[in-house]
Formats: sequence, structure tokens, C-alpha cells
Amino acid sequence: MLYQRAGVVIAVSSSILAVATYLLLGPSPLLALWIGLAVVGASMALTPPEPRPVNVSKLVLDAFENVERVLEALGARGSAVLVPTDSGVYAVIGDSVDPSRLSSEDVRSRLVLRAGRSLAVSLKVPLPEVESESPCEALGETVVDRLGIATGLECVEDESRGELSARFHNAKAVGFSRMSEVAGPIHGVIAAALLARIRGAPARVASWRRVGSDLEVRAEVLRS
Amino acid sequence: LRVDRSFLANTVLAILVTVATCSLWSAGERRIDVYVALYTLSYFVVKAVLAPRRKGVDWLAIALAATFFACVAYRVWEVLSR
Repeated sequence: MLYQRAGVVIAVSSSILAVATYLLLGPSPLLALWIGLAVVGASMALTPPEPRPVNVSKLVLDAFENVERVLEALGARGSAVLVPTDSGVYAVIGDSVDPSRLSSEDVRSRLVLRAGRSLAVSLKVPLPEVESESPCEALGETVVDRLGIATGLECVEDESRGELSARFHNAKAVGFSRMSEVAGPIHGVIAAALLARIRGAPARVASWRRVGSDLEVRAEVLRS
Repeated sequence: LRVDRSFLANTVLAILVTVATCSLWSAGERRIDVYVALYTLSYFVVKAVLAPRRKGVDWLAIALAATFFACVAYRVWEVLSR
């Protein structure tokens, strides 16, 4: 908050000096200098406090580790569908899960539920809150800025086809083998979960592959 | 070293504003609207390139754009009324 307060002080004092300069000297380059300083101060004041990426990262990765433990204990197989609900995004994992047959209430309240002919496991995806309404922006903010599990992101969303293609630079390898098997790498799970949350429809990780230290992921919205 | 892009954007903006002010001042420019136009341009370039995070609505962008258009309108009116 110190940074933001410094911004307010700079903006207010520059504005006062600008008015005084205008009254004493009229329009002059000195007046422009104060206006410029006021712009910089206002920009500082409008900057929200820095999120604490290390702490958020640890919390979210620990939560994902717990998801991994549950999946391992249940011997989960099949594939995952990320289902958005009022209280967050849930990963429904099972053989041939049909999202159109899932009840939002069951997904929210049950650990094991019936999905078509087989049983599926429903687990809440731990995601930090992001304000952006664009899946690509939200993905960059989550994976790069907050979690720090990649150093950069190239992301394209094809809204008409409901697809998102992302390339994570220097994607940190997070060793969740069972989760990778059923839902894809953590980067992909987050991409699909954000896509599901923002587009308000079930999504999944369609494909992923490692390219050197980078990771390419394609997530898609499942249209019923 | 990880630098938050919002803080980086403010630093780059401060550098651009300083460069713009020094350049125009040394060129003997006294019209305030020229300075404001360059500040506005700098702000929107930084905003487009670095996409800094903002608390709520970006009032600064709105204020700068409004001031810029007011300056342009004033200049156009000045030319037309000659």
C-alpha cells in the first residue's frame, strides 16, 4: 500500500503545483512537467497491491497435490471434464463422462457420482480468483503471475470453435502423474478450468505435448 | 528477478514522460496540449504493450483520452474560426 500512497501524494502535490504554476507563470513547460508527474502519480495510485505469488503458488500446488492423492487412492481412470458451477469449477473424472447428463448439484455436493453408465469422481479445481474476462489473460495472470509455474505464455482463443491453444514457456514440471494421466498437466487443467469458468460451459484438455522446456496445451469447450 | 508488469509499466511511463518533457522543453515548445498529447500517447502505448493491472475502472485512461480529444477539438475550432 506504500506504493499506492506514494502515488496519491505525487499526484496530489503535482496537481497543486500545476495550479500554482499556471496562476503565477501561465502556460509553461514547468506546468507540463507537473502534469506529467501527476499522470505518473495517478498511474501508481491506480495500481493494485502486488499479489503474493509465492504464497498463492504454494497453497494452490498443495491443493493440487491433495487432488493427486485422492485420485491415486481411488485409482481414477478415464478422462476429466471441467464443469463450471456457481461455487467453482469441478473436475469430473471417469470413463466416457457425458457432461450433458451431469447435474450441477451432484457435481457440487458428491465426491463419487453417476455419470452415464459408470461412476465418476468429482473434485473441485483449486483456482485463485482472477478478474479478467478473457481466458488467455486469466491464464497468464494465474499461471505466470500468481503461480509462477511458467515464465511466459503465448495464447490464442478461437471463440467461435470454443478452443484455446496455449504455449507455456519454461513450464515447470509438476509431478502429478495420476492427474496428468486423467486430466493432463496442471497447466492444461488450469487452462481448461478457466475456459469452462469464463465461457460457462464444460471444457476439457484436448491435447498436450512437451516441446523442450515449453508445454503446448489445447483446451476445448464441450458443446452438447 | 521477477518484476510485476504493473510496476514495470509505471517505471516505463515515468521514463517516457521524462523524455517527452525534456525533448519538448529543449525544443522550446510552450503549448501545453502538445505535452498532454504526448503523455496520452505514452500512457496508451504502455497500457497496450504491458497491460498493467488496475484497481477497478481505469479513470486515468478516460481522463487522458477526454483531455486529448478536448485539445484536438479546441485546435480544430481554432483553425475553423480563423
